[in-house]
Parts: sequence; C-alpha cells; structure tokens
Amino acid sequence: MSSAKDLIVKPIGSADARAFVKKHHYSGKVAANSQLHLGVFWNGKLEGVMQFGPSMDKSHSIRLVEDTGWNDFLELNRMAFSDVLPRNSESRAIAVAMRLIKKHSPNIQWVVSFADGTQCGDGTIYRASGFVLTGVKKNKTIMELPDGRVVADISLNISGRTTGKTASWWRKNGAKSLEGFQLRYVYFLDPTARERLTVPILPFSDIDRLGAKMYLGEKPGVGGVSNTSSNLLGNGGASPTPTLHQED
Amino acid sequence: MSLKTEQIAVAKLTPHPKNVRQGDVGAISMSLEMHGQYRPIVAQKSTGYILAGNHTYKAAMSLGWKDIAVTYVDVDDDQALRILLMDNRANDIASYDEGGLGEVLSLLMDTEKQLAGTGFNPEDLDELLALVTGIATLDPAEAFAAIPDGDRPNATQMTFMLTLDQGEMVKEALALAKSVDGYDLDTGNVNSNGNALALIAQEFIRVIR
Repeated sequence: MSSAKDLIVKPIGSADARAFVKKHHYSGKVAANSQLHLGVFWNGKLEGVMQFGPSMDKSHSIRLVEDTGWNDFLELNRMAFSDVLPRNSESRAIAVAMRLIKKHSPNIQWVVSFADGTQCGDGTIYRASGFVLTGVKKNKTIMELPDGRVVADISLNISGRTTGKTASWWRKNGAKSLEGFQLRYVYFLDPTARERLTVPILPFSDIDRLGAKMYLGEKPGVGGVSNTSSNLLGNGGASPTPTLHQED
Repeated sequence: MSLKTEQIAVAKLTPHPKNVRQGDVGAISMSLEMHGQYRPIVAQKSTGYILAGNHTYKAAMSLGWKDIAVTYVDVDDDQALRILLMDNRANDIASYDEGGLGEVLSLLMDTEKQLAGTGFNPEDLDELLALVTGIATLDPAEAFAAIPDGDRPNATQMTFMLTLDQGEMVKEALALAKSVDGYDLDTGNVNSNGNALALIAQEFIRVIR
C-alpha cells in the first residue's frame, strides 16, 4: 500500500494549480501573486498543491530576518490537499518542496507562511514540518460581510474588485472581524537565517495558552488566556493573512 | 533441466544469425558499466548461438570485455528459434503499472544518482505523470525561473481608486505634464505616466512648501 513516501512533488502550471486550490482550499480562493506551483501526486492523481510567491506585504515581512535580500525569501501562499492522502503526506510534501526550493533557488533563505486560526487551523502541519512559530495575533483583518462573505481587508483595499467598497466602509456598514487568531510560521532553508531572526521564536504551547487552538475549522477548547500579550502583538505578532484570503 | 552459469570467453559466443531484434546497445553498455552483468546470456549448447542477450553480447564486446557469464541450454534448432523470438516478444507485450512506475522513479529522483542506470530520464517521468494524471508537469528549471532573484528593482507600483471625475482630472494633469519639455529626462524611468505623475508631485511639493 502506498505511503506518504510515495508522493511525487513536481512543478505544475498555474492553471492546474489554481483549479485544484479553488476546489480543495477551505477558502475556495487562490493567491494571485503565487509564482511557483508545486503539484503533489499520489496514486496517479493530483492530490495536493503548494503555491509559493512573494509576501503580499513584502516590505514588512522582509524585516523578520535581518540582512535578507529583497528576493531571498518566499511565502507559502496556499496549501491545499485532498482528504485521500495517507498520514504525514503534508509534512512529506513540504519537505520535498523545501528541498526543491533549496536546489533550484539557492538564494532563498527562508519561507514564511500563515495559519488561519479563524477558519482553518493553527498550523499543525507547519509544526510537523520544521517551521518555527514566530507570531500569534488576534485576527483583525479577516472580515465577515453582512451577506456572509468572508474577505481579507487588504483584498478590499487593494483592488476594489471584491466588492467595490473599502474595508473601512464595510466596517462602518456591518462587517465584523472573524473571531480567532493568525499564526505566523517561518521555515529556515539557510541555517544562518535562524540566527538573524528579529522576533522571538515562540513555544508551541503559546497557541493553547493564548486560546488560539484550531483544527479543521473547529476550536477544540479555549485556553486560559483570551487575549494576546502585548509583547506578542508588538514585535512578535503575526502579520495578517491577506494571501490566504485574497480574491482571485 | 537444471541450469548452470559459467564464465566463458566472449569470443566463444556467436550472435544468432536469425535474431531480428534491434536493441539499444548504447543503453545496455551504460547498464553494464554501471551495474556489471547481473544475469547470464543464454546460448544454445550445440551451436553457441545466443538465444537471449544478443545485444548484451554486443555491448560487452564494445566495452572490451574478455569474459562473460553464460547459461547453455540443450535445445534443438527449432526450439532455439522459438526461444529467441519468445524472449523478445515477452518484453514487447509487457506493460507497466504506470502510477507505480511514477512513484518508483520519483523515489529515485530524490537520490543523488537520480535516474542514472534505470534506462529512464526525468523527461520520461514528466511524460508519465502527464499521461497518468492528465496534468502536465514543468521542467523545474523553467518553473523556478519564475522566482526572481537579485536586488530589489528600482521600481514601485501604486494603485489608487478614484471617482470618475477625479480620474478625468488626473488624466488631464498627466497629459499637461507630458507636454512639458524634458519631463522624462534623467528619471531612470521609461514609464511616461510615472514620469508625468512624478513631475506633478514635484511641482506640487515645491508650491506647497
């Protein structure tokens, strides 16, 4: 019987990747700024996609690791897997993806990604894949509009395509931030980048402590602390997760 | 019939005169170099004609091998001819579990030697995946080329939302700015709207200050 070791990870075209993500990602939306699309094949079928590209807020994110060149880091913009994959497939796929990046884009020193603890999960896969936790921030950017649509404020502000109204307009007209947290994770391809991290590495236990736990869109139990501490929100707080929610 | 393998001088063997198979001697030579001989040639005892392994023999000759492993079979000429054909035909009518083959090749692709010594190359794996999944995979070099490297470009893109009236006003201002001689000289920017907008901003700042 095939196991996670039998996964095949290969670059695929953006059209195939986007079609898969639209079908399998919890948001149903793709990240428009992805540049690299890796397909995860298993038993002769495409069963997963990982999309990498620049951070939406690159000028901000680049400060996470001192002396990072403008193009020397990536964001894992989207990750979607079907539910037929065997155990550990996601971490196996990420491990192969990181090896491919290291081999073909040796300038990339680190990869940042965000877990959406308002609708999806707190980043179990990242923790199992060697990412470090560098931020837990109460969500202020993912909004639910009065008609039930869920959007990131940046997608409203950047193009206006989503609704034709800005985020501030919507906030005044009934939109509310979703309850939950955004969690920021970093993976180091260059070990020296870890030493240049400008924010603290947080213990994974902080997720529970801060009440940020979420798995498959469900909160399994809220921890004792309902608000993030100010030091986490200051230097170590996660950026929003705009790319997780940007409209196509 | 018990089979025995013996090591003999290559020169003692003779390619079967009725062998119509056209094998890839180059590929077999590579295999012999990488793996050595891992199964014996089969030859007819009475004639020394090769029944299975005619191209292995040729590859060994091309590599200058002196000895080779052989198993002799004691068969008449009729059966020898049938074995000669059957050995090749059995390969012709075989097929692969293509999904499984893709997984095996992919596993090897992760190793240092990649697909060396398998008879397959990375393009074969790509074609296999496309055939099985209906999804074309890309050459990694091509796919990763989409990720930029180097320094931050001296360029930034800004997007604004304007009312229709504001939009018309901005267009008019841009057109006026472009009518100024040298509005785009020594700016390092080839975008005419960008140069015009920068000139407008520069003049605005000068006047306001």
